[in-house]
Parts: sequence; structure tokens; C-alpha cells
Amino acid sequence: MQQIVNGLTIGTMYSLCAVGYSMVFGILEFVNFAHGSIYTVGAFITLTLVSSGRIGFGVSFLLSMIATGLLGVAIDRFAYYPIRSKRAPKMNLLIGSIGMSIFLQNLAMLIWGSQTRNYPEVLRLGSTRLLGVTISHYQVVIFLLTAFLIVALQTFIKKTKTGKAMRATAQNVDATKLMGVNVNLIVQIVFFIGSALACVAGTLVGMYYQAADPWMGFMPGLKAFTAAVLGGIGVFEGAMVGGLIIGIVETLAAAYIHAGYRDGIAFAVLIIVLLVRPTGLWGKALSRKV
Amino acid sequence: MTKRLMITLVSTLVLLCLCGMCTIGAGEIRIAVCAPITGNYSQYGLSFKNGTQLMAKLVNEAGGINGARIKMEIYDDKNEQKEGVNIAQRLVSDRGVAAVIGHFASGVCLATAPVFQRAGLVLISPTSSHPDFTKQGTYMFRNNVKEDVEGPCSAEFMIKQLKKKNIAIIYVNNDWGVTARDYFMEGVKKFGGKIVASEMFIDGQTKDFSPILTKINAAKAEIIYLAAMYTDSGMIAQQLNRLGYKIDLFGNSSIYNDMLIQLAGKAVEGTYLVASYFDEDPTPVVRNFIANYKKEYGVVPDQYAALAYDTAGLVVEALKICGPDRAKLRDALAGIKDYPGVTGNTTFDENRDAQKGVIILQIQNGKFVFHSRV
Amino acid sequence: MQVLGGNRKASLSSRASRILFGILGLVLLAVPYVGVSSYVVRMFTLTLMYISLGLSLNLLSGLAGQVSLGHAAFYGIGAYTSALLSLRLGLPFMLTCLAGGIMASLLGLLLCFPAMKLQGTYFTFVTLGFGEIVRLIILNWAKLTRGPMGLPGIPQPVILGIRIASDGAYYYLILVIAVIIYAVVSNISNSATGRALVAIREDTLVAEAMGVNVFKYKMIAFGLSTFFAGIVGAYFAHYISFIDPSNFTFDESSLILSLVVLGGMGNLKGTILAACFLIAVPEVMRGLLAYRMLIYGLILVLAMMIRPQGLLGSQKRMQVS
Repeated sequence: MQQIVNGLTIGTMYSLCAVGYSMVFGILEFVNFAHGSIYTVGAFITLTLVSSGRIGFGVSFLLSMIATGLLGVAIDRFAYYPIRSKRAPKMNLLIGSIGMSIFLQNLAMLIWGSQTRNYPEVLRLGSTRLLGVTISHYQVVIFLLTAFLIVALQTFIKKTKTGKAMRATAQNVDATKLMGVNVNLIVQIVFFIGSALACVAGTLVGMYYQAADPWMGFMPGLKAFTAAVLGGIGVFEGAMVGGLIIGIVETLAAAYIHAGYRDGIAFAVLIIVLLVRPTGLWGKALSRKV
Repeated sequence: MTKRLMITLVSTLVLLCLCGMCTIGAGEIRIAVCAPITGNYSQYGLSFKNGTQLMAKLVNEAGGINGARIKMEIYDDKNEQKEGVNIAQRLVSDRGVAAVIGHFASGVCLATAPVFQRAGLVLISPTSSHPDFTKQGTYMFRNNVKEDVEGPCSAEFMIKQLKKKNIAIIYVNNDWGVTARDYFMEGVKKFGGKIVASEMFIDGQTKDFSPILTKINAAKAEIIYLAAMYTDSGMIAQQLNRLGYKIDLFGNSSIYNDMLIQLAGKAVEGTYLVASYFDEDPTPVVRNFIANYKKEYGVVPDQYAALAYDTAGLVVEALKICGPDRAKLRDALAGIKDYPGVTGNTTFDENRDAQKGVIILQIQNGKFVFHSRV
Repeated sequence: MQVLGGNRKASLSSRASRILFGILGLVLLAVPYVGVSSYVVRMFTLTLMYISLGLSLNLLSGLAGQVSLGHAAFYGIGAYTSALLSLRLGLPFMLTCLAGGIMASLLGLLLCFPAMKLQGTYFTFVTLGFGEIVRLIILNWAKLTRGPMGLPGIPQPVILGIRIASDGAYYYLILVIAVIIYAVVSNISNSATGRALVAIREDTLVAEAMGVNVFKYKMIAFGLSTFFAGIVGAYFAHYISFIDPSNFTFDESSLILSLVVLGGMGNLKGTILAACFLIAVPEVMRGLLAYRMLIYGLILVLAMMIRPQGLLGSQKRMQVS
């Protein structure tokens, strides 16, 4: 039973990362490989700000989110946009994002060193024992935060004008342009929010494990993608549930089958999902133009 | 288009040839240091670099070896076998290189051993613990305590001193972790203990240990032996604490690092570990080393720096006897007895493995404290 | 080459290029004898290995446009198959090498079946997942592969009675392998099969509508591509004499893919150029120890930004008048 809770814990972390991924993925139909690296950089920026001792945690977190968001925008503006504007095959964008991911990861290593850094224990949260199972308050916080973010995002997309513009871009870029919408600006906003979300995920995970290292983003990035696909592209609740499912499946596999295969399970899930139901649990079917 | 191709190929060819042929000025004794300067293990590579270069600096300040300066040349093997073999090939053809200190990981050592052995160039590793390494040839040396000493010592201590018989192991699934596990398990059997659980995790990828910890708790283990690096050990300790399980921890020498305490804080309080180097050791050799290291680099050396420093020192000893002749160096090195290193008195046995003593430390009040000598 | 017009120009430049290739061929053949250090021979060997890998992937990802991020897995399967067969059963290299290629190919086809219907990015991720799963299996199935302990002492190949032991011998072996792979892939790319693959890459739906048997061609691309990767893997195992799972990671797959993309999708000569560039330059750049990976990532991004068709341009559809 405890194992399920363990699974949910790690699952919520994947969910958090997955939401940001899903957003970029859903609106731009682009898998930002660098998402994992942005997550790492976000965690480190918060760490640096908090460690300087002079800025409070809340402010550090906020500043970091903004900084990371801007980083995402910069990446888009200076790297992805030129690639996109050449109307080159989608694959080039993917390769570009892989290159960007390698670049960012090594940049983080250069700036912050390759040693695992300690995340100061900012919030002292305990845990409760309930029905013979230990639940950490941290987990609850992360869970609620993820849920809150999803609701906020959904509202933003459904109710605001910018949100509408985003949905329009997702459906048909050219038509949206013709309607007078500044698509480039919309794309940048999407990257900003997506990256800021990555920062939130990275920071919270760093705080939970009280450690940050330059490679922390790689696996979560891949699993977050799996979660996003499992839930359906662009469907945030799906990404959240997807993350939880992967967390649980992975944990149970590690406990009852073989600990070494736990990462493989996530990929196996991905493959199965893509074969059986490519649109994910909640996704809409992609129409193929003929 | 083809012309461009040709030009590029030819120029690359020329570049390569130039590289292959360049040598550095004479009058210097060159020792190559192969370590992971980039990648997951770069912090250990840095320790290697610092330790060996400090030794070179001190030797040169004291007048060098019979007047000749020594130079430590650092090569980045990225902890990858292919890179290691690449570098090995390069070093072997470079006649100016007298000996090679490296690598960090046994896997890389095993891959490069045939290259060095065939060419007759000494490879001495400060940290390889895979038993097969020195068996690869007479030019392979090892300057650290093997797992077949640390494992049984730990087992004996746990069972006899701490009186804990139900033992669980968590090991990292790489060649070092598996070897450590195997020797430890032998030790446990020998001293009458029982392995109730043996769980592994993947190097660098696993951060969440809760499933295996829950399993270990269910198996009613009294103590866990950690065959893992300090970063993972720290997380294991923390998560153990968070889950509320009251199980003791026993670490391998690899967790002997101040960062462990920074990362895990109270969670590792009371943990025991084996080590061969201890920075509170009052012997003058150690104190001098620490003082010099701190002056040069601003931080306290970790055991890897200490091992690398000693390894460099051993090579220097051999050089003093015979000069930079590769074959003679091998013989001189093999004959070293009772070298007063900072990691203990070192003698090479007939397999060119270093024989050193082992000590037990414990973490008390956030510091590593000497417990007993085995 | 254009079918219509410019015939005289074509014959002149093709003669010149033939001479150039002749010289290049001689140079390549002479490398071990020119008296360069064995380090240089080794560099050439490594470059040729990556050229072979790049060419094999080019068939799948460049020509057919199925971007695979799991190629290292097949390379690894070939290596392990060959190593295990020669270590455990003592079989000769020719046999184990072939077995390695076949095994890799079988697994490639296994992946192909389910992945057939997937488009673009999804396909790529599945290959990535597959690659990771294979690596994890190799790592964890210790009874078969000795897991992280690796397989040491892989014997040197003996082909037709000749033992491949010196650097020069290894070099010639990979040169032969590389030439064979180049010949086969080049042949395919200029044939009807090649045209079909390019059609699939450009627009699968249209290709299907035009009667191209997408299924059959994808299978061919997959099967051959992974077969060659397996062969190179087998060679690698016997070259380096010690393999373990750390050789066949995602980083390796992305490196091989970069060779294809950088050189130009479907452009074989481009892949060769890219391999020389990406393998040789890090050696020269050794002085910039810490910045190597950083620059590598940067190169990938910049290449995509500035010249997405690759150094020598990707092979476009054949112009039909």
C-alpha cells in the first residue's frame, strides 16, 4: 500500500513537469527536448538565488520562474524561430531541440559545477501516518499545486483572449495569422509559460530531494513526455493523470518485478500507448489531411 | 561538391598527422593522468587532477627528480571506454610519457589495459576496485583497497561489533557496485549473518528509492549496507528518514565526503563507514597534505584526491629509482614497500594490488569521527 | 545529376571527380603504411566506424525519413551477439559478425511492425524508448550479458586464416566494411527503391496514394539499416575487446543521428564529411576539455539554424521532366 503512495509521490513530480511539456506540445505540436534541461536550469537558478541568503524563498522562486520563462523565450527567438522559418522538416526542429538540450545541460554544468548541490531545507514540512502508510506533506503540496496550475491554465486558455489565440494557433497557424493575430508573440508566450512551469517542477523536485545536479532533468523530461502522450496531447488533466499512472506503474514494477527496469517501464508504457491508442486517454484524434 | 569534400578530408588528415606527431620539449618527465574531467563523474576527475598536480608541484619545488621537472598531463576520458582507449593509444605512441595514472572507473581500466599492457606502459589506478583489473597484465597497478578487503571488513564489523545479523544491501548496478555486493555477501556468509534483501538501482538515473526501501523494511532488515556513491547514499538516507523507517546504515568508503552531510544532514547521523583515508588523522604526512591542498585549492581534499596524490607519489618514488624508462619503472614500482602515503602505508603485493589498512568511521554530530582500526 | 542538358560539363567534372576519388582511395589504402603513429590509424578506424554507422542510419532516417533515436541499441545488439557467440561458443568471426547483423535486423523488424503506423515525432520517441529498453535489458540481464561487468577478452577476429591483430589490419577490415555498406546504400538510393523511400519521406500519404507499398519499403529500410548497424557493432566488440552497456547509450544514438542530419538527409558523401568533422575535430579540440559537449550541442543547433539541409544538401526528389 505504501508503494502506491510512493508511486503517487513520484507521479506528481512527473505530472508537474508534464504539464509544461504538454502545453508547448499541444499548442505548437513540437516536442521541446530541451524541456528537461530548462527544468534543470530553473532549479539551479532558484537554488542560486536562495543560497545567496539575501533574497527570501518566495521572491527567489518568482524571480526564477520569470528568468526561466525568459530563457524559454530566448531559446525560441534565437534558435527555434530561425529553424521554423526555413520551413524545414519538423525533424530539424527536433534535432535542434536535442542540440539545445545538450548545450543547456553542459552550460549548467559549467556554471554550477558538476557536483550535486544541496538544496537548503526551506520549508520544513512533516508527514503523517494514515492507515499504516506514511504520507509526506510535501507530496500533498506538490499534488495540490499541480492541480491548481492545471485549473489556472485551463481557465487562462478558455477564458482569455490570449488563450483563444493560442487555441487558434494550435489548430491552424496560417489562418490565425490571417486573422491578424501576432502568432510569433503567441508562440513566445507559450514558451514563457511552459518554461516557467518547468522551473516550478524543477525547483519543487529539487526541494523534495534536497539535491540538484545538472542531469536531473533528463529522465524526468522523457517521462514527462510519456505522461503527456499518455494523457493526450494538449490535455492538461490528461498529463497530470498520465504522470500519476506512470509514477505508480514504475514504482510497482521496481518493487515487485525488478528495480533495474523501472525506467524501461515508462518507455514500455509509451510504446504500448502509442500502439494501442495514439491519441492518449483523453486526446482528440489528429486528422490527416488528404 | 566533391572538391570540397576532398579538401576537408585532406585537411583533416593533415591535422590528425600533426597531432599525432607533436611532442613536448625534453628535460621534463611527463606523466599522463586520465580521468573524467567532463561528465557525470567530473568531480572525481577534478580530485584526481588536483591531487596529482599538487604532488608534481611539491616535487618540482623540492628540485624535481634528479634535476628534471615532472609534469602531470591531464586527459579527459569522460569515464567512457572508447575515449579511454583512444587516449591510451595516443599515449602509448608518445614516447615522452613515462607512466599513466588512471582511470577512475574499473570499466575504463579494463578496456584500456590490453593497450597499455601490449605496449609496456604502466597504468596505475587510484580507484579501480574490479578484481580482474590487475589480472590483465604485469603493467597494471592498483593503489586502493579492493572490495575484497572492504566488504568482509564491513560485514565483520556489522555482525560482530554491532551485533546486527539481518542485513540488506542496496547497490548501484555498475561493475563497482556489483563487485562490492559480491564480496560483502561473501563476508556476511562467513561471519554468520543473513542477507534479507538485495536491491539495486541504476547509476545516475534513479532518484526515488522509496520502493526498494519499503521492500527492505518489509523484510525486517536491521541494517543496510550501501554500495553506492555519496550522492545516492545521501538520498537513500533522507528518504529512509522520511518514510519513518528505523534502519541503520553502513557505508562504503565512497560515502566519505563532507558533501554527504550537507546533502543529508540529520538523516545520516550515526552512520558507520569503512575508509582508508581520514582527514582528522594526526600523522604529519596527512596533516601536511591537507594543509598544502587547502593552500593550493582552497578546499579540504577528499579521499579521491588523497588516493591520486599517493598514486602520483608512488610513481615519483619509482622514477627516483630508475628514471623515465617504461620497463624499469614498472619493476621499480612493483618493488615499492611501505611507502608512507596519506592513505596508509602502501606495499604492492605479487598481483600489484596495494595493501593498506582499513579503518571504521562514524558520523557523529555532523562530522566524520574515527571509530576503530580494523 | 540532371538528366537533361549539360552533358559535356557533366562528363568533364565526372572525370575530374573520378581522378579525385582515385587519389582518395589510394590515400585511404596507404594510411597504415605511411608511417604515421598508430594513434592516427586508430582515429581513421574510428572515423570509418562512425561513417559506417552513419551510412546505415542514413538509409532509414535520411532516405526514408524515419528518424530513429535508438540506433545505438542495434549497434549494441550486434556487438553483444557477436561477443557472446565468440566467447561462449567459440564461433569464428565471420559467423558471429553475420549473426550480430541478423540479430540486430530481427529486432529492428520487430520494432518496425508496431511502429509502422506512427508519424514523425511519435516514431522518434518510440525508437528512443526502444533503445533505452534494450540498454536496460543488457544492463540487467546479468546472467546472459554479465550486466555492468561487461564482456572482457573478446577474441581478435580470424578471417580466412588471417588473424586481425595489428592496427593496420583492423583498419583495413573496417575500410572493407565501410566500402561495402557505402556501395549497398548508394546503390539503393539511386534505384527505384531509393526513390520510393524518398517519396515516403516527403509525404507518406501521397506516396501511398500513388501506389507505393509503404509497408514493404519501410521494412526494407529498417531491416537493412539495423543489419548494418549490427555488423559494425560486431566489429566494434572485437576491436575494443571489452564491451559493456555504457557504450550503447542514448548519447551514442544522438551522435549517429547528428552525422546523418549534419551531412544532409540521404546524402551519403555528406555523412562521410560530417563523420570526419564530428569525430576528428573533438580530438583536435582536446585542449578545450570542459567545453567539448557544450560546443557539440551548439553545433547541432547552429547547423539546424543556418543550414538545415546539411553540409552537402539533402537528396531531393528526382526531377522528372
